[in-house]
Amino acid sequence: MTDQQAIKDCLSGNTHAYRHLVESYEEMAIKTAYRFLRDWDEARDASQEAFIRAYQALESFRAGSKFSTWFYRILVNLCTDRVRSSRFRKSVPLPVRPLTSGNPGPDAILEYRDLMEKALNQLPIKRRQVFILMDLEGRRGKEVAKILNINESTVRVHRMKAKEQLRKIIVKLI
Amino acid sequence: MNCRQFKRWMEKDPSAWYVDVRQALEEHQRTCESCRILWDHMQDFEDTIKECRNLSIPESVNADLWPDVFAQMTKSPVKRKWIFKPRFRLVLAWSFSTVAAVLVLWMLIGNPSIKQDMGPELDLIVDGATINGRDAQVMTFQFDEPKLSVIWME
Repeated sequence: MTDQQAIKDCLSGNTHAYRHLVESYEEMAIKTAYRFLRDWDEARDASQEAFIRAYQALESFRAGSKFSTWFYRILVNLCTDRVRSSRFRKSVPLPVRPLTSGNPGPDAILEYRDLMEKALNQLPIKRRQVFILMDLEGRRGKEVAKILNINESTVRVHRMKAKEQLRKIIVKLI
Repeated sequence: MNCRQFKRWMEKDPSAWYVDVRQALEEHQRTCESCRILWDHMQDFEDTIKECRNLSIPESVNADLWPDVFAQMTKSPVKRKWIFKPRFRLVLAWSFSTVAAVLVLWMLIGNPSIKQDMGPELDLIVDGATINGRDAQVMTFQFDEPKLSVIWME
């Protein structure tokens, strides 16, 4: 069954057709939400809410566009709202000690992963969205532009600025 | 390339490095110990970004969303937004413009009381007066907004 067929069936009253869409995107949705929220339970909850919101708004989905792009826009907006809410606004302090490992290896990767998670919180929300979708999820600029409803060139600028900001944080720590 | 330039370039995204810059950076880090450490750190950082793509959901998290989503779906069905359907939009636009046109026409032609009220509010006081031994009729117009009085004598 294709996404378009599932949507058509849903709109004609077959609610079970939505299962195809949920099962196709649930894993990616939870992972994407986790990258924003840094909490697996929150990520699951946000993904579930995004699927329900998408279902309720299914009538406004334009047949020519891709369901995944439309759905991820709902999900990213929902995660962004949650990030902006007071619960997630508390800033995580960056480590004050300099980075010790100079050689690549599992320890260094863990150290950087932890640092990157903290440093990501310092980025403005648009840069964070672009960095997560492009660099951490490996999506293409064109798709990210559609998800975030901005120009492709703006996506490129946000990505470059995000990378620079993160690299600056690391250079300062060394 | 000196160490300061090296550090500045390291802050930039590698996609912004020109070919000759990349060569100069690689050359410099081979000859300078402190810059080599920085170079290695940045390589680690880039590797971490790539490594972060491989994210797996822990087993403790139930990734099967369908039962919960379906339970919610039955409580809140698809919002039927018939208003957004093109044919309804056209009908709605026609209805609104017709009602608006009728309203405007009624205001302009059908209801004379509104026509009178269209200007600023004014009071007209007609009085008699004797000016230079001659009788004159004095009309005073007093506007409320702005506060203004116009005296007209005949």
